[in-house]
Amino acid sequence: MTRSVTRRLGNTAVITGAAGLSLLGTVQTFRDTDVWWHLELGRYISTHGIPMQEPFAYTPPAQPWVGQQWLYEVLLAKLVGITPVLASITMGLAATTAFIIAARTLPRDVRIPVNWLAFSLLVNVFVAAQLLGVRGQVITVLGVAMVMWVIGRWRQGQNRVLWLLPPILAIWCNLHAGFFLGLVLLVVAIVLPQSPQWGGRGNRRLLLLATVATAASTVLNPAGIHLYQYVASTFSNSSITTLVTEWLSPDFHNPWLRFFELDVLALVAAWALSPGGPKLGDVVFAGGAFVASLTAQRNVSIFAVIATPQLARYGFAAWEAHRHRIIGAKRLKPPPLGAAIIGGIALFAAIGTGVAVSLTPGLSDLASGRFEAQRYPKAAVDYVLNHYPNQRLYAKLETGGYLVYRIPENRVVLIYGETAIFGTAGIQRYLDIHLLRPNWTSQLAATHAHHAILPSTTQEVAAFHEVGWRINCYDAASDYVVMSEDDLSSITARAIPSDPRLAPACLGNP
Amino acid sequence: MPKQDAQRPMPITRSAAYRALDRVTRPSGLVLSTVLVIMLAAVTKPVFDPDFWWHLRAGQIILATHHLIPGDPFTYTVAGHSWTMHEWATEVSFAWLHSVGGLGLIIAVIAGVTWLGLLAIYMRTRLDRPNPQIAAASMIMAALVGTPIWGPRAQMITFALAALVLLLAERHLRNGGRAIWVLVPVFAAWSNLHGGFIIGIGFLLIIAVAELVGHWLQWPGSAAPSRARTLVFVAIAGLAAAVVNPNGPSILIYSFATQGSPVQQANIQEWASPNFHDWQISLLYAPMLLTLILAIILNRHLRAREVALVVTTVALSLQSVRHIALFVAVATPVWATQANLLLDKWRIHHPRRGAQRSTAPLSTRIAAYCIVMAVVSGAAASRVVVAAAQAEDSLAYAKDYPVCAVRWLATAPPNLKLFNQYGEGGYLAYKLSSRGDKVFAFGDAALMGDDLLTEYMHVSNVKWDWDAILAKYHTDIAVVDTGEPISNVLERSPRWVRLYADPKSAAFVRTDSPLRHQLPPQTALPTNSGDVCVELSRSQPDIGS
Repeated sequence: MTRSVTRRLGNTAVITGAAGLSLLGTVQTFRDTDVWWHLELGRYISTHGIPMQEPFAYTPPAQPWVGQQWLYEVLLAKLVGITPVLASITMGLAATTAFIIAARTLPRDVRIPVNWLAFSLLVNVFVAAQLLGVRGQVITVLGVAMVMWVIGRWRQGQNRVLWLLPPILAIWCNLHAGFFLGLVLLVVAIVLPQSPQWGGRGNRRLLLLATVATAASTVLNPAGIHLYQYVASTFSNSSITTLVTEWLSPDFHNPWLRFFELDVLALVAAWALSPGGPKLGDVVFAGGAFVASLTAQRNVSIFAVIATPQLARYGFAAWEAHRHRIIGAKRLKPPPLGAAIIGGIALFAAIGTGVAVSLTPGLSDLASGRFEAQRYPKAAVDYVLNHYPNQRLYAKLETGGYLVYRIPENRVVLIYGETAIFGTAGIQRYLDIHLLRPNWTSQLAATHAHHAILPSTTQEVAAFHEVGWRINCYDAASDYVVMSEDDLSSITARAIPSDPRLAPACLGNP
Repeated sequence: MPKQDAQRPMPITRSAAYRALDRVTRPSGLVLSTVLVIMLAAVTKPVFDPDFWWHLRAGQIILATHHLIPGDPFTYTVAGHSWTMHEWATEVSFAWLHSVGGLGLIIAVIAGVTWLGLLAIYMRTRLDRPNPQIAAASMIMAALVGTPIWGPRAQMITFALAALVLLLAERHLRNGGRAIWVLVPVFAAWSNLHGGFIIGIGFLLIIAVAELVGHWLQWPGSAAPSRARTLVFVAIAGLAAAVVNPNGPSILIYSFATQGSPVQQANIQEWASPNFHDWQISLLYAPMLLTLILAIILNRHLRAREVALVVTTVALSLQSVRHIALFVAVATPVWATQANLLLDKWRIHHPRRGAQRSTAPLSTRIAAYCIVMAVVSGAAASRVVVAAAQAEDSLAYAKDYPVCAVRWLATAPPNLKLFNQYGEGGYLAYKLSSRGDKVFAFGDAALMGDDLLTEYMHVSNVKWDWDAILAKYHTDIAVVDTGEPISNVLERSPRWVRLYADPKSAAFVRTDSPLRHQLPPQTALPTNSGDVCVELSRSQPDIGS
């Protein structure tokens, strides 16, 4: 075996090992609250086709339904239909693939030790991990990685890869509305000045042509051009930024966002310390993603995927330029060939075993069931299904998706994660109640909901008590309660609310 | 005298005053003068910090009793807690200034202190001799970026003194000398004025460590290690001097109490991360941060101490909005230097063409200077005067504080136990503590303790135990902001009844409380058209009695 073959094998092993380790961050249970309504919608589409109107909620929709993620939803339903674990693994692999593709974005003439790439990949996967898992955003992370890879190759003068863009975007726009980001990246690449110094050797006219073709290809979806209307209405709806944590600025008290901050700092330091400095395009793309992340923390995953190749490239360059100041001119000798192979295999086996041992218990049916019961109001919904079937419910937005999954028929859900469809009026009505605004009682009455499923610590529990609702039962596993509107005549005699955890346990059967 | 010399024209000798006048009236001098005036206008604000009021009241009590206040005098919930009065000197100063010149004098003095802090930043900016226009632009940006933070509050003392620490440290690293030791008595005074003195100590240590590491790494622009070591000694001496305060060494622990409390960090607005949807953050702070990063990347020329300070203050400002002031103090000179480097690069590639522009005669420049400064000063003065002349019971304050509710409560029987919004405890304590009325909580979060803050949050956020908590502390009356969740729930609760409401505040008592019949009706308040509460009610006529 020649030295070069061994080195290549070694490199592959290191990257594969890093990718394997990254699965610890990317393969997740159904942590995202929106996964449930996507799943139910996938089932719905499989049997009924894409709906024309919003199919689950009793809040009147503000606009016709846009099946912007129909393909993701159908695939999700198929995977979960086989086994839920398959969905977790598939989405985890998709996320890991995104970061591997991102690492491959580096120009071929830039030689970087594979351990730097592996390090950067792992760092950025764990920065993004909070935003990955079983969710449509992973598709956008993968799409961004692919588009960045194409742009990277184009910048190296490989113009033919541009024609991969139309099919990529045509699929992406049927999977997730984040496809719009792909077009933005392409427009930025067109606008950036071309010079070998700044890493641009591609044919700009061809890129422009490919971008036009790509934009045209995004019309190949069930909603056609109206998909853009959906994207615009989502981005322009200020209520969504009030409502959804992911659209808020990052809270840097949160440790994982401190990790993101360190990632940004490391990248800026690498840029500043690398000889020759960064390419303009790299600064623009990573800088833009950083700004987007400061505006909405969901974009941290996009930053991570864009930063992966850059951290490796400039980090290594900076290290090479300044290492002599820290460790002198010494270089580590490579280990003997035999030892390297044995060590590599041992490391690989250890990583594989570690990943399998760490992931398997969390993904078993038993663990998934336990996770669902602890994170979502499983017992509370069972109670409602048995005691108040087909009756309208009030629930928080975050719970709405799970309710859709559990009670898809008869429109018993007020609102769920597809907020844009309800328009500003629908969202505001929910917020009036949820934030206990002055008109909250009249808005609650207008819903004609007489039952509620709520986290026991939420303000609605105490507030509803004051207007004559009682707690029927307490779901100890998820810390939710089921409440019902009481006889109005008893309101004047209502006592100070007592601990909801003392209510009878939620049992499925009467 | 040789003939040759006799034919040479005599050199014109100018007096120092002439030279100064010449310098000031040049375009760069005019810009700088304008900026200095604008800075004063930018940092002068009415009282928006709700903590101001209890500081003022605490100062009044200290002045009246000639003793520090040993325990919490304002609340009925944590009255037994001992009070670390880490800002006693500021509080006494506030009270004294208030007795001399009212609220306006405090506003003017604190604006002056903040302005001096900005001046210290400017002087540090000048050390790298940047282009005057760039220096002026950086100062304008500094004044604007700190907009959410400026105002009459004790934190401005920390801002100004932190800027002084940075200036003296930078001068010491460049020139050496003994002036840096001035900081030791400064720290002694600072620890009596505000708990933020620890930031000054931290800056000195960060600079010293960064320079020592920079020297080890042969970082360009590193100072001599002996000078960096001096900073460590000054920091240690400053730490020792800081212990000279009524609280002794416990002041050192106190400084970390808020930073280490997750409850306070999570629930107090000022400790929250910046919201980039807010225009003040997205249009002022974010551009400064991003252009600074961009310039650093493009220039790749930064001293070790600048790296360490910028990284630290960026991290602090991303963690808490209030630390934006520290970011401004640190980053402004760095921003100016970096911008200047970019300008130099630009000029290499784009040299000026054509003849040098001639300077106008001095008399013309003086006239122009006077006119411009008159206009700018007039505009700035109007803002300063408006801020300083605002009366405590003016409509402007009535929109932010429960001015009218307090007026109503002042006619009630004394010794009330009031549940209040956290941010209004200070105002209520300031106005009503002399009657024996007590509040649920006020802005000294460390004194309140995490347990009480958690309970406060339960009531404010209407958790299931909200009423049980109010009952536990025998709360007489809840004075809350109109429209807040707790207000809207109290409005609907069968156990509470509303006795007072204006567009700002509402007051509720229990239906079975004897107070219900002892408290005066809202209609007892004056109804003449010039009255501030009538004006306030007119602003939202649908809310009120």
